[in-house]
Amino acid sequence: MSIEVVTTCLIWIILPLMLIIFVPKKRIRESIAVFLFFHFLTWLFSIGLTYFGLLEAPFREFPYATKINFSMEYMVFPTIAVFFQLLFPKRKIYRIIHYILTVTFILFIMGVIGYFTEIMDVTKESLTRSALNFTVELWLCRKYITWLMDSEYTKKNKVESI
Amino acid sequence: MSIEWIILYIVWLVTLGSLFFVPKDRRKEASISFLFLQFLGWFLGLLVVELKWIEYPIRELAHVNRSSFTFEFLVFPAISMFFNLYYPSNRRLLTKIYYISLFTTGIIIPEIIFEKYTDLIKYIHWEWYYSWISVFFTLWIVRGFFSWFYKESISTQ
Repeated sequence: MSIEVVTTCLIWIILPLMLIIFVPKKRIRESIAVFLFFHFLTWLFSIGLTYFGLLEAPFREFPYATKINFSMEYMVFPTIAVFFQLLFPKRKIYRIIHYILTVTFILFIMGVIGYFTEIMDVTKESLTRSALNFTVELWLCRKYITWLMDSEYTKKNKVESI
Repeated sequence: MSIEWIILYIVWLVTLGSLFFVPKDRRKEASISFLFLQFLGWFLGLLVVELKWIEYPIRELAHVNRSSFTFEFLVFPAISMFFNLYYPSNRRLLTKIYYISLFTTGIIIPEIIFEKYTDLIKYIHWEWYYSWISVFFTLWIVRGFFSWFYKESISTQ
């Protein structure tokens, strides 16, 4: 079995398990909303970037149907966004650090996957672009989630807008 | 411009326009059914194309995607939004089934026409009633998710 197949299988085993284990019961609804919204963003961004030749995925789960790597966009990035939301700090100063750390983590994951597998083609250029894209995506996701969650829920779970 | 592209443009315009008809106080609910349907549609849409059950000879973003981006990203999610907004939740089961069937048929009739007369969609190893059944159950699943999502919201208040 190739490293790409192993990685993809691991993604689909580990990440759902992590979500099941680490998402607190009272924040399930919020986490699902984050997952779904982020998934909408990654779909739009990945299809756009691939269209303009800025993103390439040599190994794909649906090689005939799409040029996008499905697992990364459908599972990996939305899961990271869920943890970004769950760990979002209350104090403003930490929030900026939180954004920086999350984006750095995403770039690290992309770098590792790009280096060791054919799941994504990662270059310095694409990492720079991703840093910007993911900051915007995470910010949009926060905007959406703070708008979506009713005030009662927001108060209870300390969800605040940046 | 071919008839297929004219149809695609009209579909985009009409669907985007329809978003303005979502009542202001129900936009949050609507966004959740929209996103959840995208979640199902992205996967199922790719699956049926990968298995070569259906093809979409004329489509947007053709060299990136062989599935129908218009339908899975925009049209079906938008339909599911209105489907959930006007769902007869307090009525008996038969009325609900009738309501889901009505929406399903409303989606499948244009699909059959497009399949027959245009190059927007072609059934390879597929029949119209497979579409009917899958759309019916997709809407049912969306409804199940939606009522779970919002029931919980009520209990947190």
